[in-house]
Amino acid sequence: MRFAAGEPAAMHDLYRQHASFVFSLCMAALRHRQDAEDATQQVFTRAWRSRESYDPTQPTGAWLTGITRRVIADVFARRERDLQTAEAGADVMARNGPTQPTDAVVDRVVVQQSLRQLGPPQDEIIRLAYSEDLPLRTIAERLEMPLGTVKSHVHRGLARMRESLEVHSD
Amino acid sequence: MTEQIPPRNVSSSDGHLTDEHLAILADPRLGRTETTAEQAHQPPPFAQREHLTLCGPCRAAFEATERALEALRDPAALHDPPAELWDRIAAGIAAISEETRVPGQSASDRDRPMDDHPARDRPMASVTELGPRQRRRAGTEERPPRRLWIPLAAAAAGAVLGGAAVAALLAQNDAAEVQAPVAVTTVVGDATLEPVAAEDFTGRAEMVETEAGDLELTVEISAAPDPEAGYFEVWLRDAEGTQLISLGSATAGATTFTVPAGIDLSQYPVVDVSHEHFDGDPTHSGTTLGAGPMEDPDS
Repeated sequence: MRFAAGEPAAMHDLYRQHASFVFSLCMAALRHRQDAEDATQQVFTRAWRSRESYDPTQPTGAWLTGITRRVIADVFARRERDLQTAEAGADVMARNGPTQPTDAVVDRVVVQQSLRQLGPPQDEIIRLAYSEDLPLRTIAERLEMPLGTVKSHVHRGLARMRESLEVHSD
Repeated sequence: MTEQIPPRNVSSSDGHLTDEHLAILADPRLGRTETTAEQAHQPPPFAQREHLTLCGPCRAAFEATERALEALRDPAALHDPPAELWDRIAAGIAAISEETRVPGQSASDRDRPMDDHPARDRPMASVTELGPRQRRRAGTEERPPRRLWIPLAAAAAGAVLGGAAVAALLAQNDAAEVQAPVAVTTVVGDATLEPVAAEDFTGRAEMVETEAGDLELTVEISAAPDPEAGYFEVWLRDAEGTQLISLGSATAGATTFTVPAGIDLSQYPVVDVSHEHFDGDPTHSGTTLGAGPMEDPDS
């Protein structure tokens, strides 16, 4: 990896490749745009600082997911502290609305990212089948495809989702 | 990105569950067949369920498939970060690189002022050593210690050459300098501009205080991509890129700018060269070609 060798340009490549994923993760977890921007900045700054600890046999996306989890955990810890200090304002309260476990948030974003990479028609089939919960037969009719074809797209698409979840899990 | 990945196992010849088995187990709708002929090809699901309980890897794959279905039910929106976020990151990275690279040269000089500002995530602390402008404005007698470097350097040279020789040399060059050494142009900071968006960018910047007390920044762009339908613009900004002051447009080579009087340089410690288009938009384009933090010239 060039960035592990300390090349800022390589870091820019890494950013281009993963910024939208990391930022989406921060947005989904923190539900606050400014916090998500700050957190994303932290993630890439930390990545740069700890680039020597990167294991080149691992995908960079998974490595960044790990860093993002820690940054998100730090933000939650800071919010918790803010909440405990006397003047816990409405702003802090709002940011502390119902939060999902970070694991579930990571899954939701990883799956969407992976869906985007699937491309048509698999992405749409998966979306219709699971996000919109349409019957497979309806999907087959809507896309004018044999039911068996729809099913095999689902099999392959789900396999792809599963693999990306496994990569980002720890 | 749309290429087909090979299915997990086309057949279950190695005994493990296929992509299809896993999908059907996670979503039984997929297993419902139309004809009995197809039905005949389906292995009985109980065999697969039994395999799941016995086989760790297949169980993990099944659980991940279930998680995928769960995650798909509540789709997360994908967002692109704002364009200027990379600049903030790049400036932070440039500052870290600067921090880790320079101490080798004169660690003791650099480390001392850093003690006042414990290392943080965005270590621009050394830059604040430039000193707020208003401190210097406060009184003409009060000079920051760094400005003594001219007389100190002269004294050091004098130890070798002999005082008289130095005096003669200085008198030859500029008589005024001997009488009032603090009144000449003084370097108050410099910056190495590290490439950010362009790999082939090199440049440096030097800030001087003129005899009249004005601050001037000279930016020297020694290598940069052709700006094509655009131009270079020089900015002073904070590490995060949230506060910016435009100094004006620059060309390859050296360009000198007058820095607005009264600016608090500790608030704008980074010199940034951006690539701008002729779009009439006065804000930073978000494309930083090179940037670097101002350093005290003593370090």
